Amino acid sequence: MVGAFDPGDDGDAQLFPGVPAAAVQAPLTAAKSTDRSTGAAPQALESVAANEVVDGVRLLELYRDRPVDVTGRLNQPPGSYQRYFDGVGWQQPTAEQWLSRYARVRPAVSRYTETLLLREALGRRRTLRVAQLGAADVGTWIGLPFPSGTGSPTSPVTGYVVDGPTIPDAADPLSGFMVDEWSEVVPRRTEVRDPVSGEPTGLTHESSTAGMAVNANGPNARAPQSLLLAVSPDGEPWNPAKVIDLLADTLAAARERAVTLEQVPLVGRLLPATYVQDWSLQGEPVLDMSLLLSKATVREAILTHIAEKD
Amino acid sequence: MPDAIAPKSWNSVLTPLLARAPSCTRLEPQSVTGDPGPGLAAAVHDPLWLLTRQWQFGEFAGEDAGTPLSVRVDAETVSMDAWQPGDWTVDDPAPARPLGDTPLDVLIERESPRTPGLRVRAEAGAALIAALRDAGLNDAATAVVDHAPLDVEPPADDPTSEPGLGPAWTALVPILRNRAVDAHLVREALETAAPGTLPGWLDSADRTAILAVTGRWLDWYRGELAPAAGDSSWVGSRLEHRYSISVGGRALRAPEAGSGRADWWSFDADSTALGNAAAPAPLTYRSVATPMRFPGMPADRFWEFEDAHIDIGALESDPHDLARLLVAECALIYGCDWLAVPLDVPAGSLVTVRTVLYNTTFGETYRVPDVTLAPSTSEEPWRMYAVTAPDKAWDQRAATDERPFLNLNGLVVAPVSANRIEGPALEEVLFLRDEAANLGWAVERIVEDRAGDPLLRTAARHQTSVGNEDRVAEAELDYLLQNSVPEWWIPYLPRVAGPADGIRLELARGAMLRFGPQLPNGEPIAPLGRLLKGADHETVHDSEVPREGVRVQRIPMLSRRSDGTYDVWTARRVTIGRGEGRSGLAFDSAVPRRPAGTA
Repeated sequence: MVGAFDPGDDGDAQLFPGVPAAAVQAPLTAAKSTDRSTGAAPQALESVAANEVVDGVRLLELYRDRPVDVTGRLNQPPGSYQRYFDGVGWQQPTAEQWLSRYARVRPAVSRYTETLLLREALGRRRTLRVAQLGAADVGTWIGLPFPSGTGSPTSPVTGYVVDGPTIPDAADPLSGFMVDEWSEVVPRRTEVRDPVSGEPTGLTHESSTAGMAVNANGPNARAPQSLLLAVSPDGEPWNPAKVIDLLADTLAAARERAVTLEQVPLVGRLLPATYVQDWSLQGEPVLDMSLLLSKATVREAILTHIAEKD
Repeated sequence: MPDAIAPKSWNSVLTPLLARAPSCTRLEPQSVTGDPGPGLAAAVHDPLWLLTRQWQFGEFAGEDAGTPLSVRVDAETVSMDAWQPGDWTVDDPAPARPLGDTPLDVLIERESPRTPGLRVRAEAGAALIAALRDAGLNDAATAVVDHAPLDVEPPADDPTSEPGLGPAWTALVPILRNRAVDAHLVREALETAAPGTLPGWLDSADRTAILAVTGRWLDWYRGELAPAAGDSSWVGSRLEHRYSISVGGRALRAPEAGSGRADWWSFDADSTALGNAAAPAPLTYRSVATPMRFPGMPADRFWEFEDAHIDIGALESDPHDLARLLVAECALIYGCDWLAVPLDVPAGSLVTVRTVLYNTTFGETYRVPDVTLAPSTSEEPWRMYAVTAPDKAWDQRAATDERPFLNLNGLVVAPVSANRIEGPALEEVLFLRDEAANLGWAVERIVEDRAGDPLLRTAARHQTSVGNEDRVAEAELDYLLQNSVPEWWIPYLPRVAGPADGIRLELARGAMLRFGPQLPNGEPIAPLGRLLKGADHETVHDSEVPREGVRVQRIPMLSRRSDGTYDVWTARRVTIGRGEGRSGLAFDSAVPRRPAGTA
């Protein structure tokens, strides 16, 4: 929901000189608000921002590279959405009713509708327009009740209420105040199917998604966390037996990979065959490892997990 | 040479030999330590090591079990068809009403409307003016402004019974005076005129065009901004909503409902007949078997990072904290091997699952047994989550099963609105206990002002009570019969309720007295807010105001239905308060008189 400045339909000077009179909210995912202090807004707005921005009203960043033709949508001739409003009556008051409805629950909208009230009391006309993005299957403006038979939209829709005149040049940068934004969820309607034949009955009902947890004891096996690159052992093409052998070998190798000295008692007496002699019959000087260890190291520094109790 | 090998010289050779045996030091890699750190760090050494760890954790162990592929659920749904507002235990309970398209929470919470505040009236009036001008009926618009002006002036009669206007609206008054239109007056004028005619001051040659505009406007104003009175489910003496819905001809009772946001745990099953016994509709649902995932779920393989946002392992629980231990154990040990089956069911129904089947990659089909049927004893099977039947009489399976079924066999899906947008609280009252004064208090924190906006009660108009002083000139002590409390503290006095209900305590609303120069005998101080003004809360059960207090709010709500239409209502909500209060109310005090000029 966007509100811009008073367009001054009786020829008032624009509030923001140099900035095309427009207001837009980009799709919610792309919208970025610009803080007054970051100074990302262009010069013209910056000077205004310091003076004119009311508390709680944020500046929208300008969209030079617009992914969607927002300007085009906002510039649609008044009649293009008129057909949506034909069923419910009048266009601008409907947007106004929509605003007053949300003013009850959104304080920022409430502050904005206050300005509409003042404008009307002072005899000025308002220029509310509506637009929306991404609503192929709605068949109406998203703020209105859906036409019977269409149901609720199946894809996200962004609706706008814009206060401001049409934009002179679609290529111009856009700027405006974003008054408020929110998202809402509409419950789904599903078609009732005949329980026996499965044919659609033409009726719909509002559906909720409940859920249940089912205990199903599946296997605990998981895929290997490695890629196995192998060449044929004999240069011949692969066959199932060779593949099975390869996998068995790999798994065997994986198991052997975990073998440690503690687990091989017999071989462990010989291996690893790394010995240091610390005694010599010939009286040669030797390196006494046990003495070296006892002198040069602190036991606690090695066995850190053994904590001495005070 | 025996002489050369004398015993003495033997000693000189053997002593150093025996004292220090010839030895070697072997360097051994040590792969096992008592420190769990290296193992937990799970350093990756080589691809074979990755496989090794998987093998060690049993991830390569073959099992004679296929992976579940698809799930089929056969269920029955019984639609909810009626509801009953209010307390059902009273002598004359409200009759049941059919449940229409309106969401249940709107039906429950919607408080009976009254004339809207100035803001709504002015905005609706501006909408009418705008519509008339859009239609080119400028003369009619001017006539409306002249004949139905909004009365923005504060009422002069009794400044203490109305909250007045908040600062936001006060700022608008100079502009709106003689310019704004009171939609309420316009509505009354239009309604008093005969059908097809207009009030005299509005009538002109364009009658048809004006009627077209005012007709649409009146429909909107009546339907949305000033709707007709609904049914109240609010039980003031208990500070809660009470209501029942009917499913299959039986009643589901919702006691102690703080809001209308009903879920299955809001209800108790009751054997009382209510509504119509509708035949259950079959529902078959097939879906791909999806493993159940929840935040903080342990990963079921070794080489996988877990979500660190929720650490169920860090849950602190005492040994007697059984529920918490159960949650942790369920999540950490039995979290895997579960499938999540989303079930699209009609909103407002009782869903009873009859069979659940799943098939696996081995082509086998398994039937998942119902936990409620699992044990073969005569006892009711234990269930943690079920709609209980306090009177033990709800027995859906009585016809097929000899064992009485004490819980409701099914999932209650209440027809509540999907997404509610809540506004700022229009009114807030804090019920609290004051053990020092032996009273209960209802403290008005926020009240709705004349414009319909929330207004801090401290900012609303109030008069400070002036004590009825009769001072003796020279005295050291002043005798104070009673000191004063802020005007927004409304006392509730404990009393024993009538013997008809058995002996119980209740809190009855009283009033402090306001004294002043014109009020030597005092006048009772009335509450300003809507919650305390009416008869709703004249008495409150003593047990409903616990030590921590109760906060009651009126909150504007908005939600959309599936056809895009709107529900706009004001709901009452009950939440926990913020502890005991202390009013400082005291009687019979002797206060040392301070010398003049000291604070």
